[in-house]
Amino acid sequence: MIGLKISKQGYNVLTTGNANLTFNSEIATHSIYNIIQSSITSGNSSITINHNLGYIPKVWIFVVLNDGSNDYFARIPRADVFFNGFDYYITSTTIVIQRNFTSGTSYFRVIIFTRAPTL
Amino acid sequence: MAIKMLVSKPGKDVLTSNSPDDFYLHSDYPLLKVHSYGTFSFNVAIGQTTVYHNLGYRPYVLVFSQAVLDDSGNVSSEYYQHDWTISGATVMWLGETRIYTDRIVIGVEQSNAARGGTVYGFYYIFKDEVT
Repeated sequence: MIGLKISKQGYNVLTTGNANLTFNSEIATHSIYNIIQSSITSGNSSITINHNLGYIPKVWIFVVLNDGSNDYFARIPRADVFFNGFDYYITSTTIVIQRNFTSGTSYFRVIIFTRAPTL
Repeated sequence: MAIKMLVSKPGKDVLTSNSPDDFYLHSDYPLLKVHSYGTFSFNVAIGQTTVYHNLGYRPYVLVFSQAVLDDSGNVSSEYYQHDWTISGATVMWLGETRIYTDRIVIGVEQSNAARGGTVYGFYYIFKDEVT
């Protein structure tokens, strides 16, 4: 088996520890499979996104919100104690984003990673 | 023809594997790259701290912090992803990270009068853009 290691500048790739490697082919990385813009439109409480990877990938989802002056992104899940609530779940073929209200349109950025723990 | 670089997992044939999960490195799929990282602390009565990244776009961000545990604002010894909600008997707490094009705002909001201790945490801001 052939491997690949890349060290930080100033560190010997043959002897340094993993903390000083920018890449080590023996260790899993956070690779981005796809970034999808999606939305839940007015009158609906969920949206289904197909990824069709055949396994359950790691996913991060951000909702686009506004502080009264500027848009900002916030990670979901987001409980509804103070604000409207958002949640999601992942299957081997889809990502389903849900919200606990139906008025207005909610916009999302969905980051799908290549990595998946074996379930 | 585009040149690609692929490193497969042990036991996976780099030439024939076709699942993205079979690779530790695949030049079709970008890796997260760290822009900056650090630690923070603030009193929850003040409510927030701001970290400037000046990237000009909204990047991926990971933030972990202690969580507020109760009405008095006592904080946990362990760290949680900083997107938490705690419901005490009379006070509700929300830990939230807001990502802007020039900064992130790491905050704690509460439903009653300001009180509580100091929250410690750490963050990673990545070069990669949430488009």
